[in-house]
Amino acid sequence: MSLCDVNAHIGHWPFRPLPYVDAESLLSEMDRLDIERAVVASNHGLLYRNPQRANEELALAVRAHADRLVPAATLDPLYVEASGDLRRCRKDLGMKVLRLAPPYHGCTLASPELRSLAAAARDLGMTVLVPFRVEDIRQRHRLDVDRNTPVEDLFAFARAMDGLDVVGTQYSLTADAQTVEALRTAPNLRFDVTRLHSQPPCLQELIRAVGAQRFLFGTGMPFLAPEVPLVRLSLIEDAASREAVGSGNFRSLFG
Amino acid sequence: MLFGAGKAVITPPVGTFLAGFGFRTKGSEFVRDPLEVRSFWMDGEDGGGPMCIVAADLIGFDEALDSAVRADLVGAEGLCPERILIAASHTHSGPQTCSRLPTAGGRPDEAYLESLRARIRQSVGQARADARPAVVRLSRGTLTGYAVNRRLRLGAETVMAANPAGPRDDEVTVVSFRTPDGAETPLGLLFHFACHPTTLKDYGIGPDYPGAARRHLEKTLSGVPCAFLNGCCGDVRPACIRIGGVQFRAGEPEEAEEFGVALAEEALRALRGPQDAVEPRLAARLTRLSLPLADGVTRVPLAVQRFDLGDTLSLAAMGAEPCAGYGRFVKRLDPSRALVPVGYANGLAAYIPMEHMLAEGGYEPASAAAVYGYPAAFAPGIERLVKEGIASLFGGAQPARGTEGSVPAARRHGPRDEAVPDPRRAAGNACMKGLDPSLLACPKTDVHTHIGIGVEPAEPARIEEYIEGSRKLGIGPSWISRPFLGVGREVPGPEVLTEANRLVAEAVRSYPQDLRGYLFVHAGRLAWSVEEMNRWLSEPGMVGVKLYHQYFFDDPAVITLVREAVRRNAVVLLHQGKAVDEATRRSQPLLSDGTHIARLAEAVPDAVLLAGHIGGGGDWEWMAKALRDAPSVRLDTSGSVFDAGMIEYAVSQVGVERLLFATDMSIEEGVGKILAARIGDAEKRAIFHGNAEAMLREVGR
Repeated sequence: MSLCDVNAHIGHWPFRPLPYVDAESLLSEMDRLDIERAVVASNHGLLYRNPQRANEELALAVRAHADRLVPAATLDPLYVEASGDLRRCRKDLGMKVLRLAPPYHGCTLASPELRSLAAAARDLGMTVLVPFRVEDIRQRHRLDVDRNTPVEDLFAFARAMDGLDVVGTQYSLTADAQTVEALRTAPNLRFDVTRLHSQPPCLQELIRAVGAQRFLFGTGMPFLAPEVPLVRLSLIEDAASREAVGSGNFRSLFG
Repeated sequence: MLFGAGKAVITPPVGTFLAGFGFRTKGSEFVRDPLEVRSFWMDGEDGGGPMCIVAADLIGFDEALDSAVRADLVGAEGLCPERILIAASHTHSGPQTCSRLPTAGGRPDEAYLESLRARIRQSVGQARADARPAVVRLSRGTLTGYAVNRRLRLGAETVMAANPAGPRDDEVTVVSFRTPDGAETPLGLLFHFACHPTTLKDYGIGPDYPGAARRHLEKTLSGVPCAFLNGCCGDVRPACIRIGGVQFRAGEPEEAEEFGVALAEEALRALRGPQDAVEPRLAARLTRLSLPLADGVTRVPLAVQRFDLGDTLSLAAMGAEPCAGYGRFVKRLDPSRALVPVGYANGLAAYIPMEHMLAEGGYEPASAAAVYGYPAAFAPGIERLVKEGIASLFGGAQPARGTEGSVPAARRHGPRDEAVPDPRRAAGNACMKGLDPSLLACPKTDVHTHIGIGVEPAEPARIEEYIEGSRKLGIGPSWISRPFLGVGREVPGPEVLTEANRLVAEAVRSYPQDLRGYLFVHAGRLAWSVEEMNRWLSEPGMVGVKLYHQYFFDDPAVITLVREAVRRNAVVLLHQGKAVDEATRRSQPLLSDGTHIARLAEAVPDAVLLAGHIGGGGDWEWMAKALRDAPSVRLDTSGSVFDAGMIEYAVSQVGVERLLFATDMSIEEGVGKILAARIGDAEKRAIFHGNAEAMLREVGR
């Protein structure tokens, strides 16, 4: 079964060495793991003052691999001309995905500027990715951000952005009643399986509760060990759900 | 479905030592019959991918060879590892292919193994290229008089002699792959019988009776490829008996031929008789059980595989020499489908005796342990573990009445509430190209986890759910403790802490195969801590003590406490982390990091210290560097952090032998991070299991 990864990255990161930084190395790793396609965001794009420069670099880096790599734009909602950059990302650079990481841009998912940018993305037919974090803040470098994007904020954001496809990445969900209820009230919100509570294992429970269509395979490469979500995927009990999470839902979102 | 067949000759050169008997003193002298392999390729429409059966005239495939062949086929043919069944006939007249059996045929010859792998690849490639539409049929026959049970009770002893009343399985099972148009001649044939291929004991290379059967079948069927699968015959062998007695004798070549022809004729009779149509549906699931030896330390990995050929037909394969009782168990496990028990497949780990044999002694439960290089026989409970492991592959189906032994009504470790098997359960679990199935299923000792915090209740159902979840990934035993996570030195009164320790000890007593225990101790309550150690540490299954963040670990109070633990042969597990975030600093102001532990190690050099969770959220680079020069400190790999490169960096700083697998309740993360590490498989296995055993030996437990 070929997989599709909604949570991959390329580029440099200043706080620790990564196993690779370029698109070709990522593709090689994807081949090893039988991953056919991946949404790819820029690592250092989170740290550029003007993230559009990183978007342009990313588009160039993946241009030769358009059949496998889906570039995700990174934008600072507070930066000058953010909505113009979003249009350029969609129309000129062919990007179908916008990543919003408010801790890196001095805002929250409730900030008006961010909401406005997300609405523009919706109007452009884009999907929005919201990572819980890049690195675990318990071991952060002192110059890295010191907060995550809480899951409660994400649910509120998704509920407020009706019609926008939202994917939360690296959220460590549990299968408790509160989470299940929140998922039911935000049908436009999906999560990747990079990080999920595994004791008790919750993915199967969540699938039973809200359906496999709400989850996508994601690895967090190259920050994280991709075998972890592979193990998670392998434990899904029925083939149809495994296929949906492994690749089907990705294809539904990104073609 | 599509079906194709391939074959290859795998005869070693004359002069090669033959495997299986310890009395042979020289290499082979001639080739009686060539050794061969048959490979069957199947592909369905269910999207699960192709499956393959490799059936070879060999003594067995040991774990390394099995992994290598499996990897070859994954690489060359794109097969999913667990959708490959690699079976040996167990002929005792073939070359050595099992490194565990040096006293019964010497060491495997690497050049031969290379050649063997190439031939198997070739045969599977042929099979794939040969694939054509097919349907599946099942038929059965009976062959009596050729196989006999070989465990005979004489007074208080059990000897290897003919026991016609003992368990054996005379059924001949035939699975035929036919063209959809119903042509009489099949495209290929699996034939199955349960008997050691040990008719012959001389210096001739050959496949023994299975080879004679195959030759007769293929000749009669005008070349249709036929593959032999052996069953559960650990205690069953050819009935070559001295006249008028019960003692065995070596058979003659004519007897092997006669046995084989009789088996083939019965298979042909079954083929021409009534047949059950099987709706093709391909699925497979391969897992590895961990079976404890009586030394309390060693565990034997046993591969078990469910291999579905259709909605009503499955093979249940075991990587060992299972005794006949397991064959009966498998065949009666699920009345809704035909289950064919296959031994000597996907590994050759040991003889697997029935429970009652442990007390009876004899070759299979006792003497054979040394032949396989084990320090002890299996521990009591073996039968239950194996049966539950097999049953779990089939959705926890209950065996039909009349099975030898049965799965206990109070199932401690198997799946629950699944009396009706769900065939979709086996649709493709763990079938991911990036996951090595042998590593996924290899034994894993989790040296740091929890089932219950403080004194919160943990009912049997919750414990069993935890154990079951762990076993899906090969984890067991799990070493548990009950933490108290108050701010700073805040902990409840001693009676509450004692209750937590009692709960740990009780759980360990209740699940002796699956759990080990640490006591909670507190450096500010030395007398109480010593009393607790005296009370609990002598109980079986208790391994040591756990210290949390109530004191920095280089505090004199901790040093005193650890010295007391050393006197009681206790592993000392230390909760630690280099946390830099405010929330952790506030809640754990006395949290130690690697530098504190290094100073403790210097103060108590004979302590066996285990620094907890390098993936616990503290800075793992800090921890590994801080403990680089503290050689008496081991590090566990647990925690929810699974950063790429974390394990490799820890290995570079402290070495493989000081890293121990653990989850701290992050089970999928715990296993995945080791699988992902760019280190060798042997190193991964050491981290998963071997290093924990070494630590226990060092501490004297």
